[in-house]
Amino acid sequence: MKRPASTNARSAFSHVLFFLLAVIMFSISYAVSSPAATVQTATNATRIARDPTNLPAPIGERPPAIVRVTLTARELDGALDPDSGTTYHYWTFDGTVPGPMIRVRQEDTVEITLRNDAGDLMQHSLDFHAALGAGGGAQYSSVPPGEARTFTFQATTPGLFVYHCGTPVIAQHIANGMYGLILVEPPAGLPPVSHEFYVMQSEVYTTGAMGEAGMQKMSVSRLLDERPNYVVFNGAVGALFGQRALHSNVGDTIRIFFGVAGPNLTASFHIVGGIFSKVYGLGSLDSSPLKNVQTVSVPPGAAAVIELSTPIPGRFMLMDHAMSRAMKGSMGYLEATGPAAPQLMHEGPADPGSQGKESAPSLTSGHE
Amino acid sequence: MTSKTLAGSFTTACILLLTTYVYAAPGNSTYASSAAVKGPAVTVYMQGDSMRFSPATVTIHRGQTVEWQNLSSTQTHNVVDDPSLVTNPADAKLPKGTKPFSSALLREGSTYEHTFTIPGTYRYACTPHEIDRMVGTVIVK
Repeated sequence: MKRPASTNARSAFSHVLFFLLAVIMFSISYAVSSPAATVQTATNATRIARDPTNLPAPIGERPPAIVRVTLTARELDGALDPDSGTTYHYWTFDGTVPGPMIRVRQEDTVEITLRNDAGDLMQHSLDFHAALGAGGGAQYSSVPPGEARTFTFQATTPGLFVYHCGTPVIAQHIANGMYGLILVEPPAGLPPVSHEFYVMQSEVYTTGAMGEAGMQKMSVSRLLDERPNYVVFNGAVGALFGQRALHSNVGDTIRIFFGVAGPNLTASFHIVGGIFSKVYGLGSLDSSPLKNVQTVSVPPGAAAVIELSTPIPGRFMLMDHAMSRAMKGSMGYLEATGPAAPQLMHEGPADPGSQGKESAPSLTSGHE
Repeated sequence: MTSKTLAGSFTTACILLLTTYVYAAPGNSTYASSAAVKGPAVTVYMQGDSMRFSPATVTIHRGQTVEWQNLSSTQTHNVVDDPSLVTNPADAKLPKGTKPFSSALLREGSTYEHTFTIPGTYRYACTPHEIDRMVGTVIVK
């Protein structure tokens, strides 16, 4: 039975319409699914790196007291390598890496309240190496998002101690930024210096290569293998450069509260062109310090109080002397300003008048 | 009634009886009890510090409910079977024609239930711990 012509036309029209619709649908879905190039620029990403001058002042003369501290666990995207546009989903205390430095004196009663931001996904807690007791406090401070927990410990022992999140997988919580230092001053306090600084070293493990632009993901396999792509001071590459470098003047004495969060690597802390006049190794403040040390070994979960003077102006690099790590971000600057000190180091021969003459046997005097 | 109608009714009755028998019969040990029509047929636990669903694989009949319970005082968890919410698509598998599902973040004491009406294999993950391979499977017969 032959179909009427009008039906044929209608049928043809509907076929064409269907085809057009299919083309439109396909185009829409293709456009929507094409990955747009998103590059996080340095100016967009949040700075999480803590300023090395951001620490409490010396306790001074006072009797033991109750000290109340509130910390807030906060998960947020931040700049891992600002110059490369690299970002990372950090877990922090108070939005910075390291978290706040806590400063108390021996025999203080320390009351800690840990809040956990409502928008967080993970539960968090606190383990203070300065505290004697279950989990260093983690047992009493494990808190789900949106809640708060309080616990109290006695600061029985002086020293510079690490604190960190005590929730498994602890290596992950530390690698993502949840750590800081707590200084328990001895009753007499510490001798005054010109400047104090707060610096911590840690590692970041990502699936992407070091310096890759965009949001990075944590790599569990690298973490388990202890093969970080980043080794950083204060949480990010370049955290201690430029304005955020350690600043001093010629003739000043400086004190660096230096901690290693890890989670895995021992730091060989060194300042190029400097010598540490005093090192309170492993954070022990009631032992006599080591004197005149070039490089300090600080294991993960440990700290050191490092003192030096800056008799020469210039830029001095802070680094982990396991040199390959400098390429992974473990570089920072100490900038000293002031008059030159050529008597300590100068270009050219020792005595300009004696150029060409030797006043003492030189190492190159030949065999007869 | 005509003989055709009678035969038809008889056949329907037989089919109904057979169906009831199949569903009511005691299942073999790998199957959750099909007698629990109300409430969950099986419970999956999250406990302690571990990043695991216990048991990681459960098998139920269609129409049954799985309940997840977070017993951990130190970890929040969730149950996500939604390819758009996981990092690795292999961690959220659904049989064809099934709607994705996901729970809220579960703290200690919180539970989540899901009733499975379409048979097949469902693979789900806890998204905060997906990186730690916290994944599970529900097989629906």
